[in-house]
Amino acid sequence: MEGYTCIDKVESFEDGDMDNYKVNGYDILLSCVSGDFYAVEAICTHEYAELADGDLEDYFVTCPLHFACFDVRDGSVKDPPATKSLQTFEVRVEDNLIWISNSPKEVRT
Amino acid sequence: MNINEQYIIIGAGVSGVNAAATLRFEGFEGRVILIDKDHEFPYDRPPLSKDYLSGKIKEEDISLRAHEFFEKNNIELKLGKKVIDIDFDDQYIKLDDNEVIPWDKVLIAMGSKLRRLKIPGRELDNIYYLKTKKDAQQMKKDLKYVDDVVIIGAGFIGSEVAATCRQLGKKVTLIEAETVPLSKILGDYVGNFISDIHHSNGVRLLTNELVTEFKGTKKIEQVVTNTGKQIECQAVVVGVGVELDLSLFDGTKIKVEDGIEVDEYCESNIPGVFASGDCALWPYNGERIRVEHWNHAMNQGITAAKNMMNGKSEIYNTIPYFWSDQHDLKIQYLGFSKDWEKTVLRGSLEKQEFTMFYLNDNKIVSALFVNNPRNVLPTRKFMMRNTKIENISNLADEKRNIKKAFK
Ligand SMILES: Cc1cc2nc3c(=O)[nH]c(=O)nc-3n(C[C@H](O)[C@H](O)[C@H](O)COP(=O)(O)OP(=O)(O)OC[C@H]3O[C@@H](n4cnc5c(N)ncnc54)[C@H](O)[C@@H]3O)c2cc1C
Ligand code: FES
Repeated sequence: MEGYTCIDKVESFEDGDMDNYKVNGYDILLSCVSGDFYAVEAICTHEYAELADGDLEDYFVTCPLHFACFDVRDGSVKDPPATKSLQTFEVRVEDNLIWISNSPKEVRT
Repeated sequence: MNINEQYIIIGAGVSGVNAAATLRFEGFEGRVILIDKDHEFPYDRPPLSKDYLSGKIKEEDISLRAHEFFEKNNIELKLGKKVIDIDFDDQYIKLDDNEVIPWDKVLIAMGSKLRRLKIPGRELDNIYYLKTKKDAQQMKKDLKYVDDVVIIGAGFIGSEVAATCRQLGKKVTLIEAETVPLSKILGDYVGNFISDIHHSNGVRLLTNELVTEFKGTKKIEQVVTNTGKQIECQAVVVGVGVELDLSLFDGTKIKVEDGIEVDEYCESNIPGVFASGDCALWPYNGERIRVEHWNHAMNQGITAAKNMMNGKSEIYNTIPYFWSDQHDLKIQYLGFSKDWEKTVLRGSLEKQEFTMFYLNDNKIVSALFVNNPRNVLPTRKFMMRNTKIENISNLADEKRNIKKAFK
């Protein structure tokens, strides 16, 4: 798939799972919610912490360091202290394989 | 809504700034005036003992908000102005330039100040207290010309400064009055672990020593202890805890003890007068506590702001939390406890990756995480539920997913 990188099989994921991947130099957090996949940047925008060490509940991932919370669907901030959204990446599933776009959806404002 | 009202926030630390921001995000349309005696644009304190002091991050990285944020959100910042009087009957404050500003509601987010050592020689140069950006800048500048640093107090800030000074290549002596550092909140076992970490990182740790005198001609040259030790140095950093200055409220009707007493809505005994952050004494688990933690200051400021707008609409309910970075340790701590019946260790001290649970009556009253961020949020969720652990040994079993141990 042009512009995408295949990272794993769908079966490797259960609902509520999160995992880190490196795609085209980007550190990406892939989460699985209600059978759908969402990819956002893997590092909190507040200071520095890996979101994969945090907690995913529904569509919301909480950072383990100061508990900022983001919506994995659009990267938006739900709880402070973060004030900047996470970058998001398009995910496609084909033939039971998960593909993540090589570049973020749009440049963060 | 509240368009003709005027809210004043005293203190533009993390608590006051978040309160002001929340008022706007939640749609408050009246005037918001944020006052601080500090001249600096609102900044964050935790980096002052860590990456800002070491030079890893720059001044712009420690701003609490971008400069344009306040103007864009119509928050009137008054910097370099100290509140010197507050009248709760006629509802006004007075600033040190004699400006008088009336308020409809006020949030007191004045923070705390560092306890000073009142011992001979305290007026010598190169004795530092680290609270403000200016303190950190001065220290950074002066440390360049210093080889030997003495740090007094092996609490969290003292330990962080010790670690940062080691990074900067200084010879560091850390002096602690207790036998084991941090044992009061972490116990001897973990306290000894922290001591070992200091030793292995080249910090000379002296415990059971009280500093009794500073010696020198103009600058500090020697620190003297109660056992007669004389330690040569060119700089001293004091981190012996914080205290409050509540003299502003002397003779007023606001209820003050070791902090400004507030209820679960962050409101004091005077309706319309709120307090948050380091200076607030707030209800937690059946007692009133005061903590000097960053997350608490932020979150209580946010909840206070919501309750200022919509009276008693949101309860402040949290588990106290702080983090600390020392040497290669990422430390995180949840809860509040001075005593406990049992501890359970999950992980390994040798690997420097573990969680220590502190329990009373089979409830987790606090937990310490060392290089173990994954356990923090599951533990926090469980503590929020305030329930007993059914099988304590499960907590220690690393093969069992921590979330399952909490089922
Ligand atoms: C060096 C350092 C490192 C720290 N590291 C950590 C850490 O790693 N983790 C953690 O959880 N916590 C840490 N803390 C604690 C944390 O920073 C505080 O809990 C937090 O800053 C409290 O916020 P606050 O808004 O309540 O008070 P403050 O940040 O103290 O802000 C209060 C403000 O009120 C102003 N003020 C006071 N009186 C007046 C007056 N009369 N008129 C006008 N203005 C006034 C002060 O100038 C000040 O700017 C650290 C603190 C320091 C100093
Ligand atoms: S680093 Fe994620 S909230 Fe601070």
